[in-house]
Amino acid sequence: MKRLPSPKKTAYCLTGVLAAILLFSAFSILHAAWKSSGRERSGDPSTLEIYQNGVLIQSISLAQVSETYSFTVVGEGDAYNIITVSPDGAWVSEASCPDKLCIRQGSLPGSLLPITCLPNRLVIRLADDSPRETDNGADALTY
Amino acid sequence: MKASENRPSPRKLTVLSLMTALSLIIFYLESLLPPPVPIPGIKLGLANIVTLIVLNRCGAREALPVLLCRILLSCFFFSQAISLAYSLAGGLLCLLTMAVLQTLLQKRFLCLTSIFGAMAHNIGQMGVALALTKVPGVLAYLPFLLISAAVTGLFTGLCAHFSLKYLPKFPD
Repeated sequence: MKRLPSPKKTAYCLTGVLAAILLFSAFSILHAAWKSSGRERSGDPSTLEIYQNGVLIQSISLAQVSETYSFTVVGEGDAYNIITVSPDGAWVSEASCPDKLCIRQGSLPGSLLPITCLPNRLVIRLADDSPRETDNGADALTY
Repeated sequence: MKASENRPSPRKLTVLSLMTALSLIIFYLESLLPPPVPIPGIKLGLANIVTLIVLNRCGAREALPVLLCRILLSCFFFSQAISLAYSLAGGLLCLLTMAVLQTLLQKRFLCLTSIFGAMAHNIGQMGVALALTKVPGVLAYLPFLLISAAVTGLFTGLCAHFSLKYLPKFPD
């Protein structure tokens, strides 16, 4: 039977793997922050997509929003999320989920992460995550 | 005859039941605390201290029923049904990772075992989130979850390390 490497040697290897994972994660977060600040600097109006159970239920171009309004997304059972949309962004203003994390996640754009309500399987994300150099603003999902 | 040999002694069964109750209490107390950051999946995971202790003192065969009982009972008493899928995926992947690492590290470097276990837990939960929401965009959470797992895993690993110093030997 093959002998296992010494625990010390394995620990060194694992520490290296851990450092690589942490570096990669930090780089991913910095990259997302850089992309987000680039979007803010460009001043391009964002398009938000709202998914429920993986199905795109609404796509909102913030350029077309002139005043603040709210609407309700109803899920299974009594589950619901009230989403408020303003010219500056969208956020979950009320929800039936117990932890209310989706409300605490703030508004998009502005947050690095999509707004997610896991109990109600709702995701709000920015439609275009790719760089906008060659983009003329049109999007297949924008209406 | 063989079946009775594999069966744990009543004393061991009692200790494992106590450990399950302890992890359930810790889970409940932690659930009373507000989430530290508004990112789904980020939590201290204090109940994992008990899993680590049982894994270290007895082995994966004993830690698995303790973990499964804790997950099933906590979902039944304190959480929604949907939490079961997240807890099972995260918990089982965490236990598998910790069991493999514990063998490789020969029960030393408990903090490393705990950190990788916490990371595996978050990866398992992310997999379920991805399967349920079907939106690849939720993967944006993964770097945040991995970094938080390193911090919380280190903390739970240290807690388990110091607890093991003072805990008596488990009965065979």
